[in-house]
Amino acid sequence: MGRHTENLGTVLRGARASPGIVLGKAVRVDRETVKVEHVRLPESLVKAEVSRLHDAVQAAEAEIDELYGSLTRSGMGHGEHRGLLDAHKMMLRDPMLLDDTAHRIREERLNAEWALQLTLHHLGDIFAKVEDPFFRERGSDIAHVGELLLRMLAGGRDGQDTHVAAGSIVVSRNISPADALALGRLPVAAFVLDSGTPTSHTAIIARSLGIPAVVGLQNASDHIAEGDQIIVDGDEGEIIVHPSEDEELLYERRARRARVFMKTLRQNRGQPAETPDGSRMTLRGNLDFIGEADRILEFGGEGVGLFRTEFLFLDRPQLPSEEEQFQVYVSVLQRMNPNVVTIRTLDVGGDKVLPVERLNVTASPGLRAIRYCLHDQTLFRAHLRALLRASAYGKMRLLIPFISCMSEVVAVKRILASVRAELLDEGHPVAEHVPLGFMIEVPSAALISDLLAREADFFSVGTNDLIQYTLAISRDDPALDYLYHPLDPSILRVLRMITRSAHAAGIPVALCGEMAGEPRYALVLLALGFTELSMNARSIPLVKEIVRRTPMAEAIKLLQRLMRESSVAEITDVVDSFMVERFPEIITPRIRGAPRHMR
Amino acid sequence: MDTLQKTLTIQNEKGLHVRAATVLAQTASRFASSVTLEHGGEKANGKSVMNLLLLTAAKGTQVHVTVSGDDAQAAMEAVTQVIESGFGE
Repeated sequence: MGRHTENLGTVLRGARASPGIVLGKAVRVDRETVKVEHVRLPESLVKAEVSRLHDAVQAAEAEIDELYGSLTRSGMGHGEHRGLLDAHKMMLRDPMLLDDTAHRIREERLNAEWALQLTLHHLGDIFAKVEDPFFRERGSDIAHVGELLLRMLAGGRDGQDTHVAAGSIVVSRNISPADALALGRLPVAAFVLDSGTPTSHTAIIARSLGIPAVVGLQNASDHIAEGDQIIVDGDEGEIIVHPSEDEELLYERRARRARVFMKTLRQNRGQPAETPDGSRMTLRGNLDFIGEADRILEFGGEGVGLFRTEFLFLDRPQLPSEEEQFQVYVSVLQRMNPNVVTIRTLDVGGDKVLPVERLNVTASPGLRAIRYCLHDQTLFRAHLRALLRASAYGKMRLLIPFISCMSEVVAVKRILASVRAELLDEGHPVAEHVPLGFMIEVPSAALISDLLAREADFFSVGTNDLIQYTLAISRDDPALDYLYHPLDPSILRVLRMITRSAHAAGIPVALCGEMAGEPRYALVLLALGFTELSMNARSIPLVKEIVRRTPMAEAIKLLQRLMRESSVAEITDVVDSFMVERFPEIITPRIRGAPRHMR
Repeated sequence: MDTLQKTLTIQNEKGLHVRAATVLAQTASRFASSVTLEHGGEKANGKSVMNLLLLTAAKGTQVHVTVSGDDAQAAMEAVTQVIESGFGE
């Protein structure tokens, strides 16, 4: 210690392959340095050498079967990865590999390793000459299979990595899935790889073993020497070489949190968000990109509470066609089935500007979301057509953003009915009942929530906007920061008003703002009567843990105390001290004025 | 011993890539007959994934299949089925 106290460590960025944070010593694992012995065999040993090769193939097959098992147990033994393992298994007995190697042993009397090495070089040369990059890259699969065989020839599983101690951080350009599994069994503390992507095989194995990994670091391994101290941050996808003392402290704190997170996830992934006295909440994930769908299930979410459709429309030169939209919605519905997918209709306008100008619609700050869609019905109808057509492929709910008065509800229902009739006429299947919900994010909607509830199948409260509009502030004005607080007495009251309207009408009431994913607010929202929360997938396990460990009666008592307080500072203190005391491992005290990353 | 020949079209989106080649080699390996695929003057052993990959057959490629051996009939049927079904994708 002390050597690098003054200077910050070197931060290298890669891709998140497996979550978790660790601090440890680097061990280089470089395959290309593996020394292959060259022995010319006496005739009498040739036969035995060929059967040694076949034994190695069998051992390698067993190793791949074990990989299968490990992936299947972690629920990841599907699709592409399984297909690749099948391919590797076939390649082990591929005539181009096996016959050629056996031939070299017999004819040239080489030892198996040497013969195999020559065959691998030969195959490598052939694949390097392939013009189509798509096929050329498969050469790496052959190299992996070759490495696996070489390792088996060297005496099997643990033979080769004797210099890697349990608990060290493996630094390499690239390692094969089989090596990742062998090292993971030691177990090593983390993987740091120059190559690879979060969906590569090695990344999946790291995740299935719960070992943090950062991949795709380009040439990071050039900067790391054997024995270097490194922090691996699998949550952010970065590593820090030679961290300073401050950085070590900060990361230890984050590592502790990460461990709590992983432990919580293991405990409650398959469990419902139900209090010990039987109040049930539904926790769902927010979805901005299709790729996040798997994460929601991985973290124990029960479907999608908010699918923002904007990403399909923004950042592109042309609007998506009905067909393109339809395909995207169907793929999410099918991926999440039988879980619910709540799709919010287009929220553009205001600061989110469409890439193309639309006839007869002039953008203005207040003309957004449903207001915009009602002005641009050509676009809205195509959007609804795609949505209703997709509804036949899973459990869809429709959520209308920015509703502020009853006439908008009437207009939406009229258009929906007409689009549905049109689709049925054309012979398209449409789900018989697609639940229709309204976002409550404008104060006027909260004030008439009793009227809206009669027309809705569910509510979803958008607290980000509701807080701003209720307190008449804009979030990008730092001078007004002191007013923005989710626990403001006015906000608690407006939220209670909305949930009461929903309860009276007997409809579910969800919350999908940032607030939903903050564990310290979980009990307040539970007591306020929210039946669903939708959040960033990563927040689900901790929020669920809090709900599962607190009787509803206790949460209500907390809320009653808050409702008697008149200052937001008091309310915040009561909530913070209650939550820190009750859940010390999940909720840490706020450090006032500390930079965000230190909290 | 029979020898059968047939020309088939690769129909799946990614062509004869690693997964498709694996399915084809697995199928061909179940039979005693030799299975050879030919495309653009290149020949490949239908039981070798690596050899099949080296054909670099994209979607729409026509491949000439030759099957030779005692169970040629059954082997040809099975190979035809996997190629025409797009390798079950």
